[in-house]
Amino acid sequence: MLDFDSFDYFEDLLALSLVALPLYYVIRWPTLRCIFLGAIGLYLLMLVAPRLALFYIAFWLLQMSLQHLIRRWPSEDTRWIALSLSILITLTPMVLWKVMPTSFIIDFNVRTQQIVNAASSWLGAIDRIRDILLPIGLSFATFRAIDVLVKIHLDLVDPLRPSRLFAFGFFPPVQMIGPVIEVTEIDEELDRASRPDPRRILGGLLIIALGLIKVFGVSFILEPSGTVFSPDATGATYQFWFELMRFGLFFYFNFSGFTDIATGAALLFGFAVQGNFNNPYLKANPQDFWNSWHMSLTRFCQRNVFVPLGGMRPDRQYLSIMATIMVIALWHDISIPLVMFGLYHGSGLVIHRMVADRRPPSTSVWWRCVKVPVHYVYFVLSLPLLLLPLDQLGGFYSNLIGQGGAS
Amino acid sequence: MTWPRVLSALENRGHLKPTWGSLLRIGGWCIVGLVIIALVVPARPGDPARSPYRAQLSSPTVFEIGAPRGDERGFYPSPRSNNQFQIAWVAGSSIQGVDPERRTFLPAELQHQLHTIDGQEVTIDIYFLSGMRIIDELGAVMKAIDSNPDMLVVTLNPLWVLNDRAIQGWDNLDGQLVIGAATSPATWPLLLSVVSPSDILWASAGVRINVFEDRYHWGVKLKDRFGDWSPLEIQPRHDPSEEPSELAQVAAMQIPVFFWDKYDNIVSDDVQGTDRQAAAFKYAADSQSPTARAALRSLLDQINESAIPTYLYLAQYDDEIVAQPVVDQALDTVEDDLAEITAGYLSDLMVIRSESAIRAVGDMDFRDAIHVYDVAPLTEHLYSELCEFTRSQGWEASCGG
Repeated sequence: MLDFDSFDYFEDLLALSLVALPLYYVIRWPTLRCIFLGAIGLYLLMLVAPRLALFYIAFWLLQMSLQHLIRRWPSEDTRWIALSLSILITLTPMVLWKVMPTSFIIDFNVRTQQIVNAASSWLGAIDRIRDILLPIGLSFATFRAIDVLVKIHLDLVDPLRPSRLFAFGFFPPVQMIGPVIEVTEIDEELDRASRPDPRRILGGLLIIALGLIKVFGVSFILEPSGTVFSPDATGATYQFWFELMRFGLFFYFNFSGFTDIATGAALLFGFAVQGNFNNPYLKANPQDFWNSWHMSLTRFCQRNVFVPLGGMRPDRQYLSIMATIMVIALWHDISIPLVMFGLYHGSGLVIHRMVADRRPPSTSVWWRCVKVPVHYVYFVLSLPLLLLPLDQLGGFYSNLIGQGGAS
Repeated sequence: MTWPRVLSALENRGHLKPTWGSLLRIGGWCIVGLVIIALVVPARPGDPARSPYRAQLSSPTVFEIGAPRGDERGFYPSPRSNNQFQIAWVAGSSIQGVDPERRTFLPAELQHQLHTIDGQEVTIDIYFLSGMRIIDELGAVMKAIDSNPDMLVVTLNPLWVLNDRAIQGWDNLDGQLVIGAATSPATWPLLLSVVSPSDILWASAGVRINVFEDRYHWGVKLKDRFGDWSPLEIQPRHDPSEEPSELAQVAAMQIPVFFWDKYDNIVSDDVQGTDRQAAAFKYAADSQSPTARAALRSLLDQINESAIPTYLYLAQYDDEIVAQPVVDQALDTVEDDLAEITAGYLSDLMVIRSESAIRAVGDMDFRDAIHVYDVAPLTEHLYSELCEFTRSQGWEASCGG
């Protein structure tokens, strides 16, 4: 329980696409296409568990209200109040989940199950045989929703029509594991309702194949390296280092593999959503790394945290960097290790920026060959902060310096 | 973005132009590849002799053929021989004798007495899954029918047969449901509620291509070879008495019904022991699940269409608990509902006992509501029932006088 395999979702999406894609392209009316696309996403959530689908129906209905609240707020001057309130309301489920995981997860499953069962005993019985779940995809949905709210506040987009919101909220490729797409990334294609393009379909198939190779070819072999985080793991110091280095590769190949499947699936439906990774482990400094790691999240935080805080101004840049990376960190979980994760990477980014401001970057290939692996080690050393509870961190880092008493 | 780069590289270096023609060619080559795989890779149907329950089966011609959780093959039917009378017995743990000194299976005990039918040696494949629910029974019956046995025995659990608390426990049988229901449109609404598009795709592909049907086998092999290596070892260093966190306990639950039983209480936590079991049974009887009923009807339809002689009965329930009026009444409700649903299916080929076996057998020693220590009284009862059934089919059986 609680360890939903994202591949289950994607194999259903791909299997369903065999039937759904031809139908999708037959539909030429944009509104109907939106409804069809949203219905696919909703059906896929129902397969995970009807209670999850119910939760997201409520979530996106709430978003519809909040979008109109911002747009119809009586005064331009005080519209920020509507935005703040809307963001607060949108963040609440995610924050509750991260702050009180046990009670939230139990209540989330029990209450939504009860509502599903009250609505239909047939559906209720089906729901009870589905796994007990975390609110899968909530972090992605929350940030996608906030992004729309901000764009409406800035008059960049209008409140989404119900059909458009349905397609965006339940956009099938990105529900489980991102990327955190912007509504503008799919807007044009939804309006155009274009015919199938063999170039995009072939591109989609190739990217999906690449993702499958990453997930099943590479990650599969690297996955046991997760043993390194077990408090019961024993071995020599070099073995802990070796496994941590291997886990860093697993972490990337697994995540980027699933993202490739998601972006490939979007491409099959004609949507060229932006990529989420750009060879991050080949980057030589923290700034380049964060611009190529989980890029959709970074872009979201740049737009909605870094820039509004004045990050483009020299006097505010360091504060903005720290705040941006802290949001990225706390998006994963709200905990002391994640605050440490934010401080660790925030410091790295600030120091890098300070050095870069004073000295032009080196163009030497040899120097880069040194910096890339050093930066890789710098990054993977922070993974325990992302994955372990506070009380296990000391033991973990002790193992890396031969003080764990585990060998 | 990756895909334009990949396409450009293929266009420039591989001379691949993305046209409908090239897509069709790629599809064609994929099909050729799959055909070659289907021809080259041998089938791996699973070996019933490797059952973890082998030692508890006292007869060499009785096989427990349930596959492990996650194995989409579901069951490993034993090889069929011409001079054997094969019984397929679909049941959950209610057919186990749980005496710690001598664990047994009811069909194996029965085979000692009913060792020949129609002049042929009786072999029994037990389609057994612990915690079998009504949709699992449906999947198992479909698989059993597929193996074309001479006779089918189906054991239904009174607690779970019409209980909407858990209508399925083994989703690795979804592929069996797809294959079995392909020719039964009446089953499709239920099927589409339970199975997923990937189940349909895998099951359809698995019919022709063994490697898809046997993917669990290959997955385990790959995992053993490549996916399980780490220089680190796990040596538990924690105090085993230390209670895991509540969330860890939820995560460790193997099936959802454990969670619902704990957190979506149908019975107050204060109620314990037989009173708790009684309350759970009352809920089962009252739930009137349309889904479970649909599954039961589909199961009966499948048997009916197969024209395989079938004996179906409702398993025992602890007589001490049944002695409580509320449970007796609940059992009555289940029995009446079962009788009502099955009424239209009774025929020369299908005998259905909608009364729980406890009504006929009487006093038995139970470990819990369902499991008996010693299956001997049940064996005697079913021996007599099955002898009568075989006689009704015109078969001669080793049934004494």
